[in-house]
Amino acid sequence: MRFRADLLIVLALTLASGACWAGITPAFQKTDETAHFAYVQALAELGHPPRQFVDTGLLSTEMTCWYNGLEVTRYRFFPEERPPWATQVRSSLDHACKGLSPRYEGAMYQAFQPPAYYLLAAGGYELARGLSLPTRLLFARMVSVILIAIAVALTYLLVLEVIPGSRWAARAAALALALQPILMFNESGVNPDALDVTVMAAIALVTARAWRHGLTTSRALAFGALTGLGVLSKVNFLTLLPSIALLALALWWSGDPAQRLLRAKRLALGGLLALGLFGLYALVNHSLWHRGLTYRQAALNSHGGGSIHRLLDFGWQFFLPRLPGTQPLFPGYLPVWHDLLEGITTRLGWWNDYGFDGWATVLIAIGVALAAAAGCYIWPRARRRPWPALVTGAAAILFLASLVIADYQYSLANGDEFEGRYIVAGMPLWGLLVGCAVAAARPRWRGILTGLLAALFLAHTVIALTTTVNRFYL
Amino acid sequence: MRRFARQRAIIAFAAGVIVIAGVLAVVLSRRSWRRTGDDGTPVQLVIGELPAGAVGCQPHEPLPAGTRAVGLHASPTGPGSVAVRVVLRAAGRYSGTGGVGTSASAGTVVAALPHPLAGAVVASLCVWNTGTAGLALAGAATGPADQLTFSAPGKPLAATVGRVRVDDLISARQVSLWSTLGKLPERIATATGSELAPWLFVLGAIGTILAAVALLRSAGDGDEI
Repeated sequence: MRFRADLLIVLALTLASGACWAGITPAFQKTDETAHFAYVQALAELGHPPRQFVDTGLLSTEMTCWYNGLEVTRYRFFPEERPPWATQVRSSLDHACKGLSPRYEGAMYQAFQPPAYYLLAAGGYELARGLSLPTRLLFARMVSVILIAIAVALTYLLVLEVIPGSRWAARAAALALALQPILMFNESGVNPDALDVTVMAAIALVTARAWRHGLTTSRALAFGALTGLGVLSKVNFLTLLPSIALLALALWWSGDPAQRLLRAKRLALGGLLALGLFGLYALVNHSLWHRGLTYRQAALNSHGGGSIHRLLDFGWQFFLPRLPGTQPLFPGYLPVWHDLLEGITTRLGWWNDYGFDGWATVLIAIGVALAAAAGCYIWPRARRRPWPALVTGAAAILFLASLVIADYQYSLANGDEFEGRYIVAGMPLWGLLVGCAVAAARPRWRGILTGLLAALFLAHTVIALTTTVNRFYL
Repeated sequence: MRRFARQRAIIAFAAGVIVIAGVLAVVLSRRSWRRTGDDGTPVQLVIGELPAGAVGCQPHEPLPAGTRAVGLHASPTGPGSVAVRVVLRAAGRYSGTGGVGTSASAGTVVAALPHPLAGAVVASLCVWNTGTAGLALAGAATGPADQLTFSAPGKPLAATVGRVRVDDLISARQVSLWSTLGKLPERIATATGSELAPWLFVLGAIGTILAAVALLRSAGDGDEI
């Protein structure tokens, strides 16, 4: 029963932390929020996802009124500029934008995305119907916050499943995620990543339970349904599919060898369910909504120059210093540090225009120390029973490799555009790592360690929040 | 044992929160120039040089309520003293000449307005260079309309290529952030476009601390299972 009380508190903690981030970030300053919210508005107002896939740069008349009135582009990317502060601006926009048409058939460069997340966010939009557009935006943001709260609760359950000896480990994991400012900044905005993270946390939990207690038909179906839902949440989820396939393979292999055929049948059922969900979407999308299923943006069209050799070189130089005799693909910087580690610890928004990156080295050092402590817990167990740690590690590596391959393809036309936030779908693993670090301590020290970590994670959030206040409001 | 573990968790967290609060208090107490707003002119180029003794006037300058001083994006062009006075025209009861202001930091000259503004006004803002050094004014090219123009005794009126960037300040002196905290809800509400936003922020912040404490002291059937 105790974990139910904990679960409720974890939900409340993440909802509160997410509300904080949803409230403090100016309208349309979350990453890609303008395009994602345009999709939500189109879905809510037209009754179907947007059909105009070409990015015209246009928005509904109502959204354009607010977007221009709040001078979104004047201060985005310009650290010395500020949004409008005077109350008169808001009241005049309330008056000027009222009654303008909220209907537009496009969503900039995100119109091609599948609709699962947007259907949920449109529910938030509908709840606030009749209120001003920025208030509808806040309601849609809070849908994301609810999703991420579920993701953190699922991570709490995952750690409880994987480290059954102590609730302190699960509590520390929940605190690590709910007080991770980059995760909370991004997932408290209107962005389908929130559903991606939640689905991945649920898949991780189902996998852990199936691994420990057996792959029942219901668990296999849940695995398949979640995979199908993930594919319908955002195109980026495709980068997780190799890792999910590996988890399925591990579930089939582990356990009694005599039951492998049964497990294969159950996994096949799950796979059919995933395909069925996608097929249903394809059918509705085509016959009811009259939309295309795929779309290749002009910006993604490669100008050639790609090869396996160059891809391997790209992957090497992404993580390690380049080898002698190879062409420098990232002149002057190491992507694994600047894009990935700095990105996931300090990058609010698209670039480092918040001035938060000065803290990156300290934060990464703390992360490495926690990973080392987690290693003390994992290593002796992995020596006795290596497969869980190996499969988890391999799934994480596959996810990173998929992201780097996707980045490579994009880079052929546009240059490296990797952002740390792309790995947030793997955040449950960060929670698991923190949980392992706490579990490595003697039982009598786990409480105090969790308290100290909670203060440390809170400090990270407070620094990020004050940086955001300084960026927009001082 | 369980009770002690929870107590120690709370004590460790509380100690951390006290340290965070202390650092936050120090940060909030640091003095600097605090803004009430700005005129939205981006800093892109030097729009002209205001010679010593000359006056540059910029029409239709919006000044928010609560403004007591302005920060002009200007740098001395050579050796000599830097000093300016700000003159407000067509601002009704706020019109007049302010006290002498000088360099606040690299690239900014701060000067007090003749009177603190109780309400927002749009006025003609003039800068009188009372120092001995010329001032390079930074701002943006705006075309012929609303440009800053120079006038000097015995010389014809001269136009610049645009407008100088003006930051509107709470005070001509550096002040701590405590004086600005009360303005945050209004600023958040305007930037997000919704009155709901500051409530979400404040209640979310309080809720986060309370929930973290509740999680660390959550009672029940044991922590080690």
